[in-house]
Parts: sequence; structure tokens; C-alpha cells
Amino acid sequence: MKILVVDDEKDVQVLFEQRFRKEMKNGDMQFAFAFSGEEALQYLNKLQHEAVLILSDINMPGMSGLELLRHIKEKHHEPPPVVMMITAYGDADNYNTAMNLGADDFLTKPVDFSSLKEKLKAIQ
Amino acid sequence: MRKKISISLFGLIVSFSFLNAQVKPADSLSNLLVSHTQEDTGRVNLLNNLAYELRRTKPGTADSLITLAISLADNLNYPKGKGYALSIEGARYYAKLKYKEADSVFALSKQLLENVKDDKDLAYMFRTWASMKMDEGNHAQSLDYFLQGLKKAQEAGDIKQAVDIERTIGYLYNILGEYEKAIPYQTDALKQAESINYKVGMSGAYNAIGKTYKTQGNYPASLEAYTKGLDIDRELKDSSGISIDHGNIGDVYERMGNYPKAFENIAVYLDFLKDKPGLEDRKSWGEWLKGKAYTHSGDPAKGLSTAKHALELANKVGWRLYLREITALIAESAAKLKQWDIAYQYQVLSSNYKDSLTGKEIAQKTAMLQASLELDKKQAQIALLTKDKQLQLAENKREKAFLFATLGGLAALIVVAIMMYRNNKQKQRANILLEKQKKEIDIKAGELAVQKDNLEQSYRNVELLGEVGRKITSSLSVETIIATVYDNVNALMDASVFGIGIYHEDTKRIDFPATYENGVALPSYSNSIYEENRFASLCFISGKEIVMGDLETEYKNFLQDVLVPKQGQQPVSLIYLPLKIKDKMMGVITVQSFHKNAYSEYQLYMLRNIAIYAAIALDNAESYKKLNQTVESLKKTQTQLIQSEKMASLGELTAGIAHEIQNPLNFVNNFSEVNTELIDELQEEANNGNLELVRSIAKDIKDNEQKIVHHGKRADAIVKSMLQHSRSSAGKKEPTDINSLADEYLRLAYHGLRARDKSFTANFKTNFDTHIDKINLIPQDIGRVLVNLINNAFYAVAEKQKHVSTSSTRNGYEPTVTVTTKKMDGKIELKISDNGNGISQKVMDKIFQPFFTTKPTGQGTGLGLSLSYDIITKGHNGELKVETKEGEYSEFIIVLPV
Repeated sequence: MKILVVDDEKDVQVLFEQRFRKEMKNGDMQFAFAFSGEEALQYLNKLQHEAVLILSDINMPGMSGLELLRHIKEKHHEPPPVVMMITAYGDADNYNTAMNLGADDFLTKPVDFSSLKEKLKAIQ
Repeated sequence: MRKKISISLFGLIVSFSFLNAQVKPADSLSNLLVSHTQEDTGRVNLLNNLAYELRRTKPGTADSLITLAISLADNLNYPKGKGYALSIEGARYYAKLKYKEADSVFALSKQLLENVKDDKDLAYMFRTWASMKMDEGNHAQSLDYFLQGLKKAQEAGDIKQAVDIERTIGYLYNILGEYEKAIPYQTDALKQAESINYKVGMSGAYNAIGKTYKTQGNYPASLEAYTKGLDIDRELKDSSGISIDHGNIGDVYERMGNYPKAFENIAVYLDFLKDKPGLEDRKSWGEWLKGKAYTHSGDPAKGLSTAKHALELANKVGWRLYLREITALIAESAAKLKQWDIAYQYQVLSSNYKDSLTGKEIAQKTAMLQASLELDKKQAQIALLTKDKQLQLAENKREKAFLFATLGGLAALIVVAIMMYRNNKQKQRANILLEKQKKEIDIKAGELAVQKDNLEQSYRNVELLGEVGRKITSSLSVETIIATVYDNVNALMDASVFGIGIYHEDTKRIDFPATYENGVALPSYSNSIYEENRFASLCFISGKEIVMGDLETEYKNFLQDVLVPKQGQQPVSLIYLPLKIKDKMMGVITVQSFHKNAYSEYQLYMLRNIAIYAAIALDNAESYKKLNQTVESLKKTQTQLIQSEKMASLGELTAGIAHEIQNPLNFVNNFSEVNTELIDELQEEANNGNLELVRSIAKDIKDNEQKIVHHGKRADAIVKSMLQHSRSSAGKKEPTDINSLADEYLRLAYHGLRARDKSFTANFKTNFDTHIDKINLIPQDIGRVLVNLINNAFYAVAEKQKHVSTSSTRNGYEPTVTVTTKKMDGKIELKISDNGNGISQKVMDKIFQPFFTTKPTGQGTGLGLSLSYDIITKGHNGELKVETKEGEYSEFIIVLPV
């Protein structure tokens, strides 16, 4: 399974690589990283169908995660990839907006990786 | 010399015939002057008359004519002509607002004209002089001159002049607020003017009546009078008069709240003055009117600038008449704009103009002046009576001599003799009667002399009281006022005991803060106003005077019982007077003596007057105190507002802070968990003896550990900065890394905005000069400035973005906020730039003013930038500058000394 992680915090890459090192070693999961919404879109445009799952932060400078979500769900990408939103703001407003835009799941920071892993396995 | 004069004059005359086709009298006068070449008194008169006619329409020519008239009158030794010429010259100086020069010219004119008893010209001179004094604000002098002028006009039988003087006296009484005295003068002026169909006089009288009604607040009547005046001025084609009428009508409409009509009429008034040089006084008045209309119709900013312009014009030429109103308008407009410092400053200025001559003082002076006029009239009557009597006596003597002669020569004619005798008897009786009359006249003359002495005495009293009044009213502190009043009272009478009681509404008590007994101050004490058997309370409640020459026998007229004084000894004589201003009771004043009948009528009279001044002074002191209290409470409100601004910006930050804390926490938690897992793996691999893998895992653990520490510190810094931000103030300067401070607040501000507005996005960039060393500053204060400036920058780009996205041209606008630092020679520059809408020049002038905001109501306190400005300039000796281009960008530049 190919997963694209979008977050403006660079350390997120290290964290995911550590957290999923077994899955990566096994070849169960492949990770790609983008540090802004724009970069994520570029990646998706270049490599269509590459990402099955997108994990995106909501608050980022420039294009926000919600905007990215709208782009992904509205345009191209057939079949649409699964998009999970990850944010520091777990408020109802944010949640509803994300769900209305077609998010598949909604996680809050700090991320509970064991529950994230279970969700990913369920998708697989 | 004479030849030269006539030649130059001819040149002038020729030019009139071209210029003044419409001025009929001037035309015929100039024709006369051309034909009258003889250098005699007739020519002086012609020059004068022409100068008088042209003094308003062609002032320059009038001035030349006056110079010629004076020099010719001097050559001919013709004082009447010179005196009249000087009076016109005085009028010209008055028109140019050169009061000093006018004064000396009028004085000389008066002397010359009085010597030749030229009542007609004296009347004109006095009227002009009096009008000038009125404009100068010297009302007492003005009234004196008017009354002298009126007398002269009546003696000369010059009704026109009398009309003009009467209506102007009406004006003066108006200014003094004595409308009931103004109206009879004005209506009489109108009646007289109508009786001889004197249009100019009628217009003037209507104008004066309009003014009285206006001041009284009877606006419909005022409008009617002004409109009638305007009709006559139109008939007369008097463009200057028409302009003034419009000004007055505009003023009335303004007071009625009919602003469109007000603006319309004021515009006509000002339009006439527009291209006229000089006339600053009239221009100033017009600007004041306009400013008033602006402020009252809801545009205080325009009102303020217009009023300031009015003040400028008035000050330029030293015109005092409306200074009080103009400064009051400035204060009112500034208050509406919440520019409290300006409002306060001009309010004080305005109240200083208030009483250069208080109403009471004027009333006394004017009463004096009127009395003098009456005395003059009586003396003239006496002179006339005495003359009659002397004529009769002479006649009598002649008849007596004739009788004796006929008796000797015509003894036979007894019957005749008897008849003559009887006749003589009658004459004698008439003589006796005349003697009696003479005695009566002598007595009357004596009485009048006494009256004159009394008047002189009371005039001296007025002067003394004026001096005392000035001293008393010059202080704003209650203690100083009481001490000054005491000093002055003590100089006039036995003030063994002296006190002023001040009434306090909230406690219903009369406080005596400083009472003097034999010159020594007694401790303060107070009476309730309901305390029976206290003179102070009785005097205050009844508002009536208490005067006693012998307490023991007289107290029963006032009280049931006499109580022992709260402080000091029981007096024998005493006076209690109420202190009141208008209908407001301020308190009481008392003087007491240990002797019987210590106070004369005169002393009581003086004390009454001093009481008036004391009441005025205390009222002023109270107003001043209230003003100070207002300023204090304003300051308090300001402090509260500053605090709420801090809390508001903290609120804006909390959302950003939450986000910023969750992120590091995310790493701290997860890397710790990863490390736990890794340590398990490490042990496993160690047991397996796989050393290479062990080393690699150990390195990962170490890297993760560093990340944990890093993000832990990051969370710590965020919490600390939040605490610092909420702390009220009194932060200390400490060496601070300005780059990381700027970075931190940029992120906080951005995420704060994002948290509140999900749709908001913007780029933010940093451009830091890494060579900057730590500099000494108060981190939370500078942080506050950064939050303000960065928030504003994001707000600006967000506004522009909204606009761009709604307009059809969505030409790729990228909202961007950039923070730049730069090390410079001896200072650091910190720049917050945005590519938002920029700032217009109009807004630019105000952005650092407290409470100024362009944000919708409720969204901004209007204190952010003014606080920031204070923090940078006052707190850090730095500079806060703005560069902007409307529609393109704004740049706030902080320069801090290293």
C-alpha cells in the first residue's frame, strides 16, 4: 500500500519512518512525504494512482489540508484515494468541514499510532 | 506744495468716475471736487465727505483723501475739518483692526471736535469708537462712548445717527445678556428709521432685532427680522450687507438644526468674502459657523479643522470677539472625535476667555455709566433754570428804577402810582418766589454734588471690587480662594471671625474647611443643612442674608436658641451671606466681630459683592475639579482598555498556542514510544549478538532522544511565552534572540488566525539575518508588538484576498507576509511586510492614534498600534515607521538600538 503523508513539520517523516519501520521493511507499506498541500498535489499529478492513502495535516502555511482534500475529492484521481485528516484541532467545526469535503477519517494530534495502524490494516 | 496736492487729487478724481459709476453720492461729490479748485475749508469738507462715502467701497482712495484733507485742514488751521477727517481715519484703522492706532486718532478727533462743539461729527466719532470697543470686548468703555454719542446725536438733531447708535446699543446689551434692555433701544431705532424712511437704518435695526431674538433662542422671530433686513439690503443693492444677512440666517438655521439651509446660507456669506483681501474677522466668523454646522451635523472631523482655521484667522488679526465660541467649538469637536487632550486644552482656553469681564462687573460699570449720563442731563437743567432766574432778576431791577422815577415826577397820578405800587408788590412777591426757587435749586445742586460724590465713591468701589474679583477668581484651589477672600475682606472690615462654608450635595452638609479667628486658622468643621439653630444652615436653606449688630438682643429674630459655635468664640456682630451663582447655592460666607454694630451699610455692600466673586471662584474651582476627575477617570478607562487589549491579543493567540503545543507533544509522545520499542529490539538483537544492528538501533534511539528534547523545549518555550504575554507589564530587559522571537510569534499569529478562520490561507516567509547577536529588550513587550503587526499584516492580505476572489479577475494573488531582520550600524531593523491593500494617506495620519481602527466594530480595540508605538519608542528608544503604497503593500519597520 502506498501512503502519502502531508505535513509542514519535517520531523513527521522521521517519525513515520520509525513508527512503520517494520511495515516498510516487509514491503507492506510504502511512504512518500510532502511538506505542503501544493507539493502533495504535484506528487499526485505526476504519479497518479501511486497513493492509495493520504494522511494530511490540516493547518499548513499556504494551501491548507482541507483545501487539499477538496482538490483531491473534487478533481481527477479515479478511484479516489482514501484521505485521512490529522490535526491539532479536534473541534466539531473542523471535523464537520473535513467530513463534508469527503474525508474518510479524522485523527487528532498527538497521533495514536497503534490505532492508526489498525485503521490502515482495515483498509488493506 | 498746494499745487502738488491738487494735481494728484485730480488724478484720483478722474479714476473715480470710471470706477464708481454706481455710487451716486460719490460721483456727484467727485464732480464737485473737480470744479471746486479753491483750497479752502469747503474743499476740506468735500474731501472728507467723499472719503466717508468711499471708506468701504474704495478704502485705498478714502485713505488718500483723508491724508489730503488733514494736510489741507492743517494749512488752513481748520480744526472742525481735521477732527472729522481724523474720525474717518479712525474708522479706517478700526476696519483694519489696528485698534491702538484707532484709539489715538479717535482721542485727537474728540479733542478737536469738542473744542469747536461739533455735535454732529462727535456723534459719528463716538459711535465708531464705541463699535470698535465693543469688538475689542471692552464693553464698559463701549457703552460709555455710545451713550455720549447718542447724547451728541440728539443735541445735533441727527436722527439717522441716533438710530444707528440706538440699534448698536441694543447689540451691546445683547452681548451683555440684558435682552430686556436691548429690545427697547432696537425697536425705537426701527421706529425712528421708518419715520424718516431711512432704509440703511431700518436694515440695521432689523439686523439688531434678529440678533437679540437669536440670542434669546426665539429663532422664528429672529429669522423673520433677518429676512426683512435682507429684503431691504437687496433693495439697497448692498452686497456686503446681503452677505452678512445670509451669515446670520445661516447661523439661525444651524441653531435650529436645519443644516442644509444653514450650509446654503453660510456658503453665500463666505462666497462674498472669498476674493476680498483682509476681512479676517468676518472670514473667521464664517468659518466658525461652518465648523459648527459640520460638528453638529455629525462630521466633527471637518468641524474641527474648520474651527481651527477660524481660530487661525482670528489670531492672525487679533480679533477677540468670538475666541471663546471658536475655542469651545474646537473642544466640542475634538471631544466628539475622542481626542481628549485637544478637547481638554481648548476647553480650558475657552473658559479662560469666559470672564475677562464678568457679567456682574459689567452690570455695575454700565449702571455707573448710565448714572453719569443722567447726572449730566440734570446739571444741564439746573444751568437752564439759573439762566432764567437771572434774566428775571435783571428785568425786575429795570422796572424798579422806572417806578421811582415816575413817582417823583408824576405825584398826581396816585391812582397810577397805586397801581404801580400794587404792581411792584406783585413783583416783590415774585421776587420772594424766585428766592425760594433759588434756594431749592441750591439744595438740589447740593444734593446732586453729594450724589456725584457717592457715584465717584461707588465708582472707586467698583474698581476696587474689580481688582478683588480678579484676585479671587484667578485661583482654582478652594483653599487659596478662601485665603484670598479672607485677605480682601480683612482689609475692608473687622473680620475677627471669617469663614466660608461650602455645600456638598452628596452629604447635605456645609463644610468649613478653613475658618479664621483673629487671623488664626481653626480646625475644619461642618454643619448639616438641616441643623436648626445654626446661622449657616438657616442662611443656606432660606437663601437670605443674616445681619446682626448685637447677637444677644437680635438672635431671636432668626433662631429659637443660639448654640455655642462648633469652633471658636461666640461673636457679638455677625453677617451671614448666601453664596450663589445664578440659582445654584454654593454655600455661605460669614464675618463676625466681638464688638457691637461692627459693620456699616458700606461694608455689607462690599461683602455682598465679594460674596458674588467668591461664588464664581468656587464654582470655577468645582468645575475644574470635575474636569480633573473626568481626566482621571479617562486615564483609568484607558488603563483598563490597554489591559483588555492585552487580553484580546492573548485570546487571538491561544488557538495558535494550542496548535503549536500539540505538534511538539505529538513528537515527544511518539518518539518516546518508538524508543521504548527500539530498546526492546535492541535487547533482542544484543541477545542475538547482532552487533551491527545493535549499533544502528542505538543511533536511532539517540536521534529520537534528541528529537524528544528538541520538541520538549519547543513546548516549554511556547508555554513560557504565553505566560509572559498574559503578564500585565513590568517586564525586564534581557538579552534576546530577535530571530527566534520573531519566528515564534509569526507562527503563533498565523495559527491563531487559521484557528479562527478556517478558510484563511496565506504564505509566510522569514528572511533572517543570522549575524544578529542577542539584544537587550523586553521579550513580552516586543512580542506583543510583533503579534499586533503580524496580525494586521495577515488581516490586510486576507481582506485583499476576499476582494480578489469576489472580483472576476482572479489573477493569481498570493497573500504573503514576510518578516525580515537586518543588522545595521548600531541598530537592528525588523520589518513586517505584507502584499495586502496598503494604507491610504487619510488612514495613515491616524494609525498610531489610540482607538483608531479600520476594522468593523467589535473586531479591533484600536489600541494595538498605539500601544506598539509606545512600546517601541518609549520603552525601547526605537523607531516605528510605515512605508506603504495603496493597493500594493505595507511595511512596518521597527528600528531598535543595540
